[in-house]
Amino acid sequence: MLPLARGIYSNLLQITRNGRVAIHTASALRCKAATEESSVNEEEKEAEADSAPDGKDRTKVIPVETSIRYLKSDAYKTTYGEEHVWTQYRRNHKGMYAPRKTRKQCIRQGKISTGNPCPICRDEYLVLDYRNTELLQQFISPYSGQVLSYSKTGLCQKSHLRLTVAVEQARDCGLITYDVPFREYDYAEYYGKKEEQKK
Amino acid sequence: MAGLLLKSIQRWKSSLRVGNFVNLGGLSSNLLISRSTSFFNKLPAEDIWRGVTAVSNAGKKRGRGKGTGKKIAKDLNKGQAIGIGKKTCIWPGLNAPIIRGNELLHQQKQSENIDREKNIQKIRDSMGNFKQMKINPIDRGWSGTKMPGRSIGPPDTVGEEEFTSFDTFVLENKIVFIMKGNMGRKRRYSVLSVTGNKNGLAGFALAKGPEVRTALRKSKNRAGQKLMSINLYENRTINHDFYTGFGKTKIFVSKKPDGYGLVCHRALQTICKAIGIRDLHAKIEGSTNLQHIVKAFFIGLMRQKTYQDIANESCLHIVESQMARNGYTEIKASPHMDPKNADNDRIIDFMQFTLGNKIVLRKKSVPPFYAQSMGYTKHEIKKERFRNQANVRLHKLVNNYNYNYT
Amino acid sequence: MSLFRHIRKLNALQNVRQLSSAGLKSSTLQYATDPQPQFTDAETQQLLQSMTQLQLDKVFRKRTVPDNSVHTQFMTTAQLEKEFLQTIEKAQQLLQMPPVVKIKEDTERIISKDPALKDFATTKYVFTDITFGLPQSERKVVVRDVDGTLSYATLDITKRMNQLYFPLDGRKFYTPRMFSDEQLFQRCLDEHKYEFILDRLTVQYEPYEAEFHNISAKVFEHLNESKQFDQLRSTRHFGPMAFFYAWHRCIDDLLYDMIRRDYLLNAVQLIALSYKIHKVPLDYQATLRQLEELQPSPAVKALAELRSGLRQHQAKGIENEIQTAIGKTETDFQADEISLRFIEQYIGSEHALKKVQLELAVQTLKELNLEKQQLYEGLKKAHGVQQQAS
Repeated sequence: MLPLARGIYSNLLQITRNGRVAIHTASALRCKAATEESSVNEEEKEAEADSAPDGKDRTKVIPVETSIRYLKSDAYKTTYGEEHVWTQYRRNHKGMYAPRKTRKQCIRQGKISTGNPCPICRDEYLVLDYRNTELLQQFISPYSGQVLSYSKTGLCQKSHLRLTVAVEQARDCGLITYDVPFREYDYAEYYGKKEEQKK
Repeated sequence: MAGLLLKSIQRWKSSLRVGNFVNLGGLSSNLLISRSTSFFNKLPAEDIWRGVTAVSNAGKKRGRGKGTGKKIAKDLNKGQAIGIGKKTCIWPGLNAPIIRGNELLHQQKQSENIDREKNIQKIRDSMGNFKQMKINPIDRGWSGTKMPGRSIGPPDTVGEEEFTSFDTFVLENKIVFIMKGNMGRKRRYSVLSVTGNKNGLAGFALAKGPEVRTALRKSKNRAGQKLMSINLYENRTINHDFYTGFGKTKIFVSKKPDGYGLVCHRALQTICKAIGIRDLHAKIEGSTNLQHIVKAFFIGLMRQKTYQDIANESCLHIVESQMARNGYTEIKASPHMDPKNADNDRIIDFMQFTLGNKIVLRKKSVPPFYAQSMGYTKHEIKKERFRNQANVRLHKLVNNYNYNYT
Repeated sequence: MSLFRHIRKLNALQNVRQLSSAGLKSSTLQYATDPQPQFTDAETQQLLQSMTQLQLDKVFRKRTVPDNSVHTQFMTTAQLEKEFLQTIEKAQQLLQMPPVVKIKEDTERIISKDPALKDFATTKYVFTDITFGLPQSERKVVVRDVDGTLSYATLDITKRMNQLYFPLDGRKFYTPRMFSDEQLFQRCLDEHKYEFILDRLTVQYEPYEAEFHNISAKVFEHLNESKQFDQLRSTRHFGPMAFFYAWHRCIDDLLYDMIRRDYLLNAVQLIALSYKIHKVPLDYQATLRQLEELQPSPAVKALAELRSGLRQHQAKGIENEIQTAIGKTETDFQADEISLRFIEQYIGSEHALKKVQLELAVQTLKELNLEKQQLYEGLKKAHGVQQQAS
């Protein structure tokens, strides 16, 4: 369901960037070219092939505002539904037990360097930022109030660090509320000894 | 037997060599000895290709060549033949006979075939876009492409009864044999599956069939006929901790707070998913025979008591204090009769009561063997300097951000 | 007392993110005189506690904790009774109001001037007494200046050193952006995160700091406009809020909210508090005493609520059932009458500012009460309870 819906979104934005969708893009493009009139020059065809965006390229900087809008869009809903962005993700590993730590990073030199990028890296419209509270909230446990471990979410180490930083910043700014530890006052400190004696 | 076979092969080989020699020797003694017959000129092309691309029967038994014979996106070989290409050419022996009539044919270029490429493209396009079915990693089951852990949908409707909101999961799928008088070892498939509506209604059944598909269907439908109602606490976990067993399998199950998840054997996880249990911890001791585990777990679930029953039995109030609510105590049940009041009445531990006076063995955590060694203490001393490094790094990153909120 | 010497470079202290709290504009309403004597007065405290109420569900609401385990156990009725009392005690402790005191001014207190020590170092030295168990206010922090002057540290430095050696859970070394940035603070207010802001304020600042006064005043002002008083009800901040409104003569919105929600006793108490603070020559004590006799204090009410859980399975009387169906008893109707009279008297006086609104609210409540009373009596008659009661 995921790659299909992703395909819908990429069509919407006229961007084909997902690796799994990109498997079939080459033939799809050729089909399109074949259906076009024969008057189209060879050069033009080549130019079209060149302009086809690389699904693994991550050099383009997506502003947070776009990400916030994306999280509210129908495209997001068709891709992820009501679930968190990380629930449908599974790590690939050999053997029975996954390595304790996730991979260091999914993006190297502006390109996705792995076949199974982490939930944040695979969708370039998910931007970790302290203003993007809707996304951050998905990574905070409703029971403990802490940031969920990467063993659960599958985030790469780099994304996870970025996430913890963003969450801390959002808390600092008051964009994300949390349960503040209870402070007990010793009234004698503020009202003086006299009051204490009275009571 | 084997020796006999070997001998016969050797004899056959030697006769071949002699025959060749004689044959060639008759022509000219200068010629090199060569073999004129081999599998290459004896077998048809199809068989030779199969020899290269396919796996032998023996190899298949050992699990080789699993990748072949799979459906591929597009068969690019369609519409192409050896000897016919972009530049048309007569190759005697390949795409034309060597001798036509009395004439020996020669290699010859012909006019270029312009339509060929277009035709191939047309064939490829007509094949349509074939996409390999991709299963969501969550629905892939316990391991690889195996059935256990996978969902096979709700049981079939029986008359008017429809199994809406039910889902069935395979727990075990194996081949079993029985001896038959006339057929010898008869192979059948045995499937154990559990079905449930994720709301406290579930059943499991074991069924066998001559094929996997029939066994799955039988098991699924039989499970739908054996539904049990299970009492859930807050629609997410069990009523209380309990001990249960079947045969040599012993299971200690404990109730857990919201958000804990399923920490147990994968079969129990799948069963819990079918029933609708979300938070639970279970430790299996003794045998891990899957059928026994399933039976033991269901027996344990069925034997659970409600809080009211326990309160009536013990003549005491049952109280829950939640850490998340600052230790707020909530009365869960009060006995119907007058509760015990005197302090001299012995008050039993709740967990002891529910576990039937059994105590879960909690092993002490043993420090690793190197904990006392010199090297490790040295390592600890060296490490101490950096004990707060991660926090400091995070703190620095948190505070060095360009603040531009709009 | 042992003085442990600890050297800190003052310059380093000032280097850490100096986002001055001056980022927030100061609020318009401030305590002109010391509010402490009025606030700590036993009668005021009692009024404020009563107004705060004690809703157990709200005080013991679910919080995020690292370990959210649930402990199940057997209990006898006697043990349960003890547990109830402990619960109420715990609730009262959780509702402890932050102190309301005047802003403490920094005064320079020089211990000695030693010109001989001039230029002994290029930086200031801070000495902190880190004796275990001392209250924060008694902890001595002194500074040796470059010119050889030994003086008591300023409040800012004292707070910093205290936090350094005895960190308070949840307090940051720097001002959180939420409190330093006007826009962010406004956003928090607009999203009605009042309890969060105030909770964080109590942890971050001391009650005698100017920022504490400033921010809390702003929150209360915003609350007065948004009228979401119910958010703070049954929290530790409700008392200081009511006190703030009473002090600054703007209780009318809160009063309106209380009448609308049928918390008439609280409304009377609020008016009484306002009279008390501004020394209005009106006898409110008699009314209060009357009402207190008729209606139990919040702690007693909460205890009764806890105990009612015990007797759930016991058969209830018809009268009880009628009461629970309507939500009021006979004594409640009596108390309502007395309090309505007192409130109307207030509305009639020159102290009320939003007279029309308040009058309307009182009128609707009266009609509602009358309806309820009629229903109550009708039901009683239908079930034949009248004879038993009389």
